[in-house]
Amino acid sequence: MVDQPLYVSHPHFVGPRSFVLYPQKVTIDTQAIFQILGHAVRSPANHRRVVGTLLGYRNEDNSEVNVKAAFMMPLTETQYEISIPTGYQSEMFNAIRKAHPDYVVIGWYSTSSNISLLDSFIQNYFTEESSMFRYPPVFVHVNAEDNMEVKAYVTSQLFYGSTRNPDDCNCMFTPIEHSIEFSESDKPALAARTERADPDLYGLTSTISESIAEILTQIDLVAAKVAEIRRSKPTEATEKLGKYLFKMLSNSPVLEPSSKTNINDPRSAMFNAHMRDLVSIINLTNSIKSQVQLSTEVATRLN
Amino acid sequence: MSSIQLDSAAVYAINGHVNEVFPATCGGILLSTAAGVREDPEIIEVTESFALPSSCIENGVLNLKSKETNAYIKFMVSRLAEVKADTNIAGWYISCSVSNIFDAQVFENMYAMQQANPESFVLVHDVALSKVTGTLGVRAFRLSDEFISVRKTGTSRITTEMLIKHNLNYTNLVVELFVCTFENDLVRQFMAKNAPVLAAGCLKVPDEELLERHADAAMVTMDDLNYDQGNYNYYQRQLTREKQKIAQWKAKRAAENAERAEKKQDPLSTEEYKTLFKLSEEPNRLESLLLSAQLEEQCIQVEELAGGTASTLIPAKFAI
Repeated sequence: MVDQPLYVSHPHFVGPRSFVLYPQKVTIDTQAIFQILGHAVRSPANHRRVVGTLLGYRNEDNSEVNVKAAFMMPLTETQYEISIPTGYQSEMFNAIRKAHPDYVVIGWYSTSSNISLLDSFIQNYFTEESSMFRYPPVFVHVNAEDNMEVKAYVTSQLFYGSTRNPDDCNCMFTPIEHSIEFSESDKPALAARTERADPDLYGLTSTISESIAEILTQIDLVAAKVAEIRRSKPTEATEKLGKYLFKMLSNSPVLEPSSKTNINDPRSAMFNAHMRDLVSIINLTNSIKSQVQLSTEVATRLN
Repeated sequence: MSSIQLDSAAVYAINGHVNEVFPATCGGILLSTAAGVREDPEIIEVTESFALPSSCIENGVLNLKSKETNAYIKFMVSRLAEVKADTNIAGWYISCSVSNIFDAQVFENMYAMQQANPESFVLVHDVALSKVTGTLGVRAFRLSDEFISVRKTGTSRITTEMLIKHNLNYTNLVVELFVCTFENDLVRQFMAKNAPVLAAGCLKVPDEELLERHADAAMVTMDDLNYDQGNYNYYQRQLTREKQKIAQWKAKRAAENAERAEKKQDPLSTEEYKTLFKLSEEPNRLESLLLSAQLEEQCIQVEELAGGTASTLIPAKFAI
């Protein structure tokens, strides 16, 4: 036994394509995380954990993958044994692909507290399954049992002995860079969350003062930049910035300078005109509503 | 009346889906725990959702009654049942402006869903509004009992008589349900660690493009409503004319009969006019109901957007 060599295959994947790079970076969208946590929270109490498939996008050379969604797998598990029904994954994937045609299988997830021996068997299962999709699977480990830590791994296969029999094979999990992404489109959902947490007027005033502070810093930043440009010689970069700022300025209406106390202050006039427009729009919609109501009343009452 | 509680998984999955296909519309199915095992029978807890293929959309509107859609739903539900997920179809979602749900096809979908599950509802996700206001533009609706009782009569045509009988008008076609979001313990724990701090943006003057778009849409609806009203007015004039003719005929027949009675002849039938004159059929009132409701909603939308802009502008005005 002792003189048997231990083979560690380098992190590359031999599939139908001769050579495929392992992903180096995994971006996990919040929607996928919440789906996983939802599965975990609703799993029956006697289940050790939830295991499922991750779907999403990969970039051209597979160096970065983006996890968009997750679905649960029907897995039965004892301490030494796991069984995964064949066909479930591909059927589910094909169905989801009808709604999201660009999704590919990225890998799988588990919500246990640690990585166990059985995980390498699941990893092998997914490796075999995903050889269909030509890419090595990524394993995302969400520790839903205690600290909510999220980690991403790729695996190298470890062979013991010279046979290279897949049944004797184990895995080495190598952590890779990952990030959890709150996308631009998640912002409304996040805002709904903050609103609920902090619905009082005090919260509103504090956000307003934060907004003002932010605007002031931005103004300072631009002013400092302009001063700097004026001091130094123009370069291509400063020219670009200057043109951009000039364009921004020309977007805002030209206002005649006048005293602040003057009622005919053009800025004030502009605001008033705009407010009048808004008020007249509101009045018009109100009259439309009344007319609709009136015509309905007339139509029903006359009969 | 029940309220809707959306789990984070559903909120973000729906949000991701509708933003992905925006500005096209899309839809999906919402799943919840079965009615019998709910903690609070008044709260429908949506725990899971899945997207429907774009092929389920016909002419920009989801068709939930098509064979294909139903086969897809059945398949997904059976697969989700295998992993013991919640498989009670609680309702469906659609990405559009609220005014767009006042559409015959959407109403047919709602009716079909409510026939299967009286508690089902449609969740409307307005992506454009969410983008402008920065808040989650999500509202839930269900067909009102008034509409259901009219629709149940079986005839596809809705007449004024039916409207009066069932007390249905454009303001009570649907009932709005309260929607809230919910974070389970795991999500709360996760968010405590990972939630980003949102940059405050409450001083931003809202983009008025959406306001314009709603105003334009309201104008189009108004034209349609006018056209429909024109049709109805034409029908009413026609009806009055026919009724007049009948009255004339009846008067004439009565005079004839009086004459015949004097001559001791048998009176002629006074019911014969029914075969001589055929009253024109009342145009379907559904279209007018939907257009009125749509116009009302578009007006409300315009008012809210204009009001929102005004309230951000007022403090700025004082600052000048």
